[in-house]
Formats: sequence, C-alpha cells, structure tokens
Amino acid sequence: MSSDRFYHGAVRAFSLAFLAIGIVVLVVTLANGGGPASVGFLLGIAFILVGAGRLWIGTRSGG
Amino acid sequence: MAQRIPRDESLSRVHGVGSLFSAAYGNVGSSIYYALGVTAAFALGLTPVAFVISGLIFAATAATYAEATVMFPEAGGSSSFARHAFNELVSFIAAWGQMLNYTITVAISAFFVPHYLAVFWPWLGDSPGDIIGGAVLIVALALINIRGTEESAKLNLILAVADLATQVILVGIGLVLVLSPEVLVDNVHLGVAPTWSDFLLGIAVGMIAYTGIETISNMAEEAKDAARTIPRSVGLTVVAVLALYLLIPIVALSAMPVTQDAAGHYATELGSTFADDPILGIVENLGLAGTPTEILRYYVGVLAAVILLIATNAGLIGVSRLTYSMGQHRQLPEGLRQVHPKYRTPYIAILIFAAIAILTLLPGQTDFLATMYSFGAMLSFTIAHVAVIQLRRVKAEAERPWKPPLNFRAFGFEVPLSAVLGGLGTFIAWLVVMALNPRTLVVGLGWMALGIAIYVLYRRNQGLPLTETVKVVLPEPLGVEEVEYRSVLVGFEDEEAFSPEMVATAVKLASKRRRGIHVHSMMTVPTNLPLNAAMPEKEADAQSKIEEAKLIGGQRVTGHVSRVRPGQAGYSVADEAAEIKAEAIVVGLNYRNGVPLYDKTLQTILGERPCRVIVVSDPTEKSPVVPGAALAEAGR
Repeated sequence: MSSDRFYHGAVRAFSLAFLAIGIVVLVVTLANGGGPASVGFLLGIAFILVGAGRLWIGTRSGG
Repeated sequence: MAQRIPRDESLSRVHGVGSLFSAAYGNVGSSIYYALGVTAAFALGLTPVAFVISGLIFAATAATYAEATVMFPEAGGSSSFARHAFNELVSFIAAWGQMLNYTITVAISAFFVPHYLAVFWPWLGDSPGDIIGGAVLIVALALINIRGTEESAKLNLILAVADLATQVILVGIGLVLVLSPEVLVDNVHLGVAPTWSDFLLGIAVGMIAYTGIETISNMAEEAKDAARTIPRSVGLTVVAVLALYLLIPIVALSAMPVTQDAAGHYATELGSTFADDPILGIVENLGLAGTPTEILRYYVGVLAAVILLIATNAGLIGVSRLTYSMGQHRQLPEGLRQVHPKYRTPYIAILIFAAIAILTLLPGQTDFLATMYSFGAMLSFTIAHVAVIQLRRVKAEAERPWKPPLNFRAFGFEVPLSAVLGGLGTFIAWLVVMALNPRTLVVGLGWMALGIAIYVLYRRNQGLPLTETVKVVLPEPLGVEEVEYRSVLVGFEDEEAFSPEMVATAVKLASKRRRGIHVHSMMTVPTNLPLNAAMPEKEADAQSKIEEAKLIGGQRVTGHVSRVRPGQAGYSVADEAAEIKAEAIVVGLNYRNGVPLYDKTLQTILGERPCRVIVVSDPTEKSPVVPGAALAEAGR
C-alpha cells in the first residue's frame, strides 16, 4: 500500500471512528436521561462534528 | 537502496506513513498501561481533563518535532535540534535529559510488566514480586542488549495494531456499557478532589502518557519523502492518541468512580487498587459476564506485558544509541562509551544505566518514577521548542520542508505559535513537577548536575571547548568523494576482523542522499557439518560486526549473517550484491606479513563483480610496498 493511500485511508478510518464514537456517546447519554447541557451530550456532538468535518474536508480536497 | 526482498532478516529502510505511524503509536500507546493509574491518583475525576491539557501540549510538541526533524532528518531529537540552534553544551543538556527518560522508561515499563503478568501469577502483582520481577527483566534485557539486539519493525507493527484495536474495543464496550456522564460530573469536586496542586501535578505526570514522540525523529533518516511522511505520521499519531487518551479515562472513571472514604479522603480504584494495572481495572469493571471478563483479562495481561517488555527493550536500545551518539560528539568519557571487545556494544553504559533503572524501581513507587520521567521529558521538550524558535531566528532563510500552521511575526522573525505554547506548557510542567515534588527536584537536579559535571570535567580533561561541536574523527576514505551509490554492500568473512574503515567508506559512498548500507557478515561452515549446524560463537561474532557497523553508520545500516561453505565467500558476496541490486561492494584487503593478499574471496568478487567493487585496506596493516594505497576501485 502506498504512503498516500495509507494516509488517506487512515484519515477516513479515524473520521468514521470519531463519528461512530460520537453517535454512541450521544445515544448512551440520551438513554441515561442526559440533557443537551450534559457532558456526554456535548462530548458526543464534539466527536460527531470532528468526524463529519474531517470527512467533509477530505471529500472536498479529494483526500 | 539495498533491499533484501526475499529474506526476512533485514527490513526495508524506506519507511512510509504506515510504518512511521505504527512505530510511533506502538511507542506512545504503550505508555497508557502505566500512565493512566498514576495520573488518576493525582487528578482523580479531572483525569480526562488532565489528559486533554497534556495532550494539547503533546500536539504542540509533536508539531515542533515534525518541523525540526524534517529540517534535520537525523537521529537525536531535541539534542540534535539544540546543537543546530545553540551549542554543544545545550545539546548535551537535552541529551542527558533524554538519557534520564530512557532510563526511567526502562524502570517504569519493567516495573509494570509483572503487574500485568499477575493475571497468571498473582504474587507478581505485589511487592516484592513486582520489584524482583522488574529487576530480573532489566538484567535479562541488558545482557541481551550487550550481546546485540535489534527492534523488529514487523513485531512493532503487529503489536501497534493489536494495541490500537484493543484500546478501541475497550473504549467501544465501555462507552456502551458503563459510560455515565452523571458519574463523570459527580467525580469532580473542584479544588477539593483533586486539589489544584494535585491537578497541576496530574497534568505534568499525564505527559508520560505521551512518551515516545522521539521515535519518529529517530527514524527520520530512514523515512521516505520525509517532508510528507513525517508530518502525516505525526498528525495521525496525535489524533489517535488524543482521542483514545480522552476516551479511556472517561470509560475508566465511569467504571471506577471517585468515592469518599470514612476518613473523608477522595479516591478512585483506578488510582489505588488498579494503579499498577489500570487497563486490567477497566476490563474487570466493564460489567461483562464472568467468562468474557476472564478471557479479556488474560488477553490484556499478555498484550500489556509484551508491549511493556518491548518498551523496556526500546529504552535500553535508546540508551545504547544515545551513548553512541553522545560519544560521537565527545559528550561522554571514553570509559562510559567503551564498546564490548566481542559484541561491539556499549556495554559499560548499558550496565550502568540498567543498574540506575533498577535502583529507581527498588522503592516500588510509581509516582516517583512518573515524576522523574516527567522531569526529564519536560526538560527535553522545552529545549526542543526553544531550539525551533531559535532556528526560526538564526536560520530564517534555511529551507523548511514543513512548518506547523499558526505562525506570527515578532522580533523581526516568524515565530511558530505551537512552539511558543508548547514550550510554555512543557516549561511550566517542568517547574510544577519540581515545585510540588521535593524528592524529584533533588534527584532530577542532582542528575543534571552530575551529567554537566562529567561533561565539563571530560571536556576540560581533553582540552576541548565546552560549547563547540567536536566529533570523533572516523577514518576518512580516499578517492571516493565524487561518487555516490544508491546502495552499498559491505562483505565480512568470519576470520576477518571488523574494519571501521570499510564501513566508513561505505557510509561515504552512500552519503549524499542517505542511501542504504547492507552488511553481509559471513560465517564459514565446514563441509563435514550441515549448513544449519549450531555454531553460536561464530554466529555471535558475525552478528557483532553488523552491530558495530550500525554504531558507525547509524540506522540506515542493515545486515544479516550468511552461512557459507569454505571457499564460497566470494560467490556469496557477489550473489548477495546481485540479489539486493547493490551498486557497490566494499570488501577488505587482507595482509600476510605486511604484504597485501589477493585471496580467493577477493579474486572471486573481482571476477564476478556484479557492480563496482571497492577494496579497502586497513591502515594499521599497510604494507611498505604499497604506501598510501588505502583504497582501490575496480570498475565493472
């Protein structure tokens, strides 16, 4: 595997992992009765934003 | 580049993003197995925050390392940066701090191995089992390193992947089963549990979780397209580590909340019961059923023990390489960097620093080891940050293939914000560690004072300036200045003594673009024995030549031991050169009674010559009949 392919693959994998972690944290928080101001909710949103944001940047730059 | 595709003994010297990332993650990722518990003991419910803050300092430090490493792709890390930015004394201080790091890495990693192995043998989990186990491990690895060893990139890659996958799985299970934001909030009692001073110490100690960033710097000489691969691999490492080191303590503190005991003290099992095996603590508190928990316990126990054992060995290899590098720059006395007459490894240094590592683990106090590590690491990192800022000032026009984002102009030059913030962070952490830990202050400053005293006395004794770079003069090859080869093969026969001149010549031949050098060290197997007959002494002797070549040529030297039949050495060298597509062969010229001997091996190589052949003579055996004939070259 070339260095470029590994890098872009790893970036995508990390982005998807961040997205998945964010969704899990959000769901678990809501299931436990956490509100929009709870730590879990904010953490989940942050992970989703980072994951989705990096995926979006990668799509735009073709990487 | 000499690549031995068909065989396994030597590894490619062209590292891409994947192998740089796996090596760095393997190193940094191993730290969580001891850092989590000791950080939690200080930072309690604010442990995730402490890891985020120390992680941001780590990210800035990684950016500094990436910029300077791409600029100077050579081993040495902060010591090398300081040499380019300041002078040899500052470089020595950074190197001596690194030596402390390596020594403590050896101690702390070895100390935690028995704790994880306690899943099989519970007596290893308590004192004195853990201390004895750790000390025995250090002694065993020191002896192995004296005989000569090398890291296996493939093993590192497998372990890094297993480590990353295990941590992701544990986090995944933990997030689903035990994550409780409510518990995480309840864990924190601002100013009380933790106290502000403990929280600050937690941030400083949390930095030990991020140890190992120098790995990429030390592999820089082997990196392919360093300007691209190093920043990318550093970036991936930072992202992976930051995310996991935020999530792991979140899961851990959800599973092991901070509680108040009858005496009013706040504590978490993560920093008490499981302080010495925190990842096992997570496994046991994930809320899984009995059998899956047992299986996971054994798996994590073995994985952590192997990863920490590799980390201990990496620390000893670090001591060995750093001793050589400091010796090359005349920073350490000859006595300390003396190489073993047979195995050609710096055995005195390995023994001394292994003994120091054992001494530091004897009290069995992980918080002392952690703060000592933090002392050395913060000092080294601070010097790296300041060196990068200074380089921006004094070498403003120098080519910088990569620069971190967020730079601003001040004092007439472009200042990297990451180095400023990172430098402030590491410097403050260094002060905090000393201010809040009197023992660390005394021992740490004592270590530095001892090192500087040795350095000053040695340099004065040798009549050398304190601040100027003085390198050990390696034998200079003659007549090859204008030629450069993509790959060079160095051939040694078993009855032939190791020749520094041959390796120096190969280094010179392959110097301009840091090309590869492959040592083909042969051992002759008599015809009455099978080719794979056990011949440990000969094998060790052949291996020692490779190790000594690495001491001269650095990381781009690889090598392997080849078994040959009597009279076949020349063909073996020629075949090997053809196989790895070497562009030059370096062989030695033997003498008998002071007269050069064009023996069968040399004649065969010259007869076959699959590429250029450089014949190097040993100046100490120079014949009066061929004055000055230090080198001859036979063209194809």
